[in-house]
Amino acid sequence: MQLDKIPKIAILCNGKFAIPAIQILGIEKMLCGIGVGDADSSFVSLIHDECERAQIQFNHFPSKDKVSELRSWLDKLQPDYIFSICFPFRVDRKALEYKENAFINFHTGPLPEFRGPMPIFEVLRYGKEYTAMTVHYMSENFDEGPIIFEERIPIKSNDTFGSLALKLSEVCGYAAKNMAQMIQFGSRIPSFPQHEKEARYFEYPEKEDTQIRWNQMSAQEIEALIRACNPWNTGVEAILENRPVRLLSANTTDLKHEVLPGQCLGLDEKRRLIVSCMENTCIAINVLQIDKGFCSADEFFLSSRHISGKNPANTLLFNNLTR
Amino acid sequence: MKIGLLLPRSTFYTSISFDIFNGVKAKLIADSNEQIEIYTENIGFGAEKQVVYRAAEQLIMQHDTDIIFAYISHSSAQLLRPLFASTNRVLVVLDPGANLPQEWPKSENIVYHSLNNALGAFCLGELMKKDGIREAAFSTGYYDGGYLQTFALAKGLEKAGIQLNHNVATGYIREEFSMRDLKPYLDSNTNKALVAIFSGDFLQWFFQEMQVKFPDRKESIYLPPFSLEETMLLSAPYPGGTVKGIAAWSKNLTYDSNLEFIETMKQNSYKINLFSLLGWETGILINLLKQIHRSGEGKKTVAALTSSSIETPRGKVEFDPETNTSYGSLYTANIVKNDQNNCELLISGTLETQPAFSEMIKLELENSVSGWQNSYVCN
Repeated sequence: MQLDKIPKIAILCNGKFAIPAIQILGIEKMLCGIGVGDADSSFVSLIHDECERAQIQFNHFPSKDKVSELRSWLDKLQPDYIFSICFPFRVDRKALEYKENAFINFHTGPLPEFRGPMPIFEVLRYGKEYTAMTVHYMSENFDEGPIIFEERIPIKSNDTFGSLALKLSEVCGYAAKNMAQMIQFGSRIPSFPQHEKEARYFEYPEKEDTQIRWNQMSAQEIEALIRACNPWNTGVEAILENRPVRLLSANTTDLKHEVLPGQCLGLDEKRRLIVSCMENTCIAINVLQIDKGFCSADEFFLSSRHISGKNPANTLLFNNLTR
Repeated sequence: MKIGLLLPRSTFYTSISFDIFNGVKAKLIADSNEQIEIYTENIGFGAEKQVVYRAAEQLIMQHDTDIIFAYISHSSAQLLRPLFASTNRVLVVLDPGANLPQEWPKSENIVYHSLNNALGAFCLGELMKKDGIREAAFSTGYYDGGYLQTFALAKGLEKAGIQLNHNVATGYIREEFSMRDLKPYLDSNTNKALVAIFSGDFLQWFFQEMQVKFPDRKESIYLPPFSLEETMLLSAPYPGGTVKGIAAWSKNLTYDSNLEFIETMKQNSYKINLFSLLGWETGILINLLKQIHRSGEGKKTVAALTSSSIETPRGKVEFDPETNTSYGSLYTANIVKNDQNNCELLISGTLETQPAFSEMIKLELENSVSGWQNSYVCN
């Protein structure tokens, strides 16, 4: 690329996560086109209208099949680089051959340890201390190309999928700007290959990945899973007295127990519902979703007493789900 | 170990690059570290992104330097962030600390070594409060006021319960530089003081104005570190009355490290000022880095460096783990008249700055923005 020339960049994206990057590259006059995947219709029309207003090319790729048209769109658009930000579909070889090393992916987790479509879920579920926005060249396989740089983000004890996604979205904005400036000012872009030995690929989480297994999980693991599922999955699923409930917010406690896991032990002084977990640990549930809607643990506990006429402490049981 | 230096230009301090470089050189020779290879690149005023980027790239790609010291702004450091992350090198930003960044970005490959000018401005309120000051006027100019040390100063006064109720922004050429707008305020209030941020020629003009327009002034003048640089003060006429403030450093500090710095610079006939001090401290950091750095492991080096402390001519300097930014002691000081009727700095006390630093980095900037991209004052 000619040095100092403002690069023409196309973005492939799939939702509001990409908005900070779109805004920043738009302000820098670097954006020449936006392709949207199978995002919801309100996002598609928002981007369509903004592109029309700013005279930026727009394209919609609602299905895998439509991605086969990506190459012809690029041939017409002639971007210098294509930034992929949570684009849901695999880019085929024909498109990748548009130009060598022209596709750059902004992956929402550390690589190569967290390849796959939902790294935010995985880093939270596994209780990692940090995540990263990893910028790397795209290859035919998901998340495998050489890494250009990563921006690490510490994970706080109260982070949820939603709060971490918001932070990553902001970081993605300036990482996109940094990347564009590297393209503009650098004579070459340094990168390094991923260590395949450390690579792990996580598929999109299945239903059983978002359920609590009381007879296998400690309070810490349950809390991590709840945060990893909030809000995209409306918390985690559990079965209480044969009825499905969802747990939306909970914290580990210092309390210990000597009963079987999954038993409701009563309310603590903060009016949270204490439930026994593996390794003699206890979790304190703050908010649940039951048939009638969202409710606090306190409200839920008292209504259980009202319905059954019995003290629910030590009698209510979560059912064990087995894999 | 190969070291790179990105050195700036400034129209007000034409010798800035030489002073920094001489400080580095003097310290390396004093520590028998002459074998360390040093490569330098000029980055102009530091305001042109491509110049800064190319110079850093050149030092890394062509000279294979491990660690680069750069006298650049936070925004320029942001620009270089991916280059250093990608190549896993270390960038040490030499920062006068006059600006506040829009955010305090922590990068695993970047350390900010700061002279804490904004921190000194933030601490000024507490000093004034101890003197019983309840309200103040503030004056600055186009260049000095363009850095967000002004915001830190205003917030520090607010925290100390001091009302800032009169502002005078003056012109930036001598003919337009005037303090006449201060007159109504100084004539009509009690329990008051004047706070100002000026450096270089502007400080001289400010003191001249105070001398001429307000010869019987009762109000104390309070100045932050940016205005208490000793070399600059030596050329500024003493304005009369009480002039005090917070300084980042003085030749008169009695630390062994300061005595060594002054003595070595004198022996080499090098200038002794804040820039050569920053160069000297770069030499101290190089000495430490020599022990902890392994080639290609920039992130580990930064982690080790930021958990260390260094003894410098301005006392012990430590690193804040949240921002990878250094902070050292600051000093309360008075300005007195010297034999030439100019200004001399007298240190009166030491301020421990860690609590104030932690407070300052949490300040919300409330949409205050600085457009200054340059490394140091220029026109």
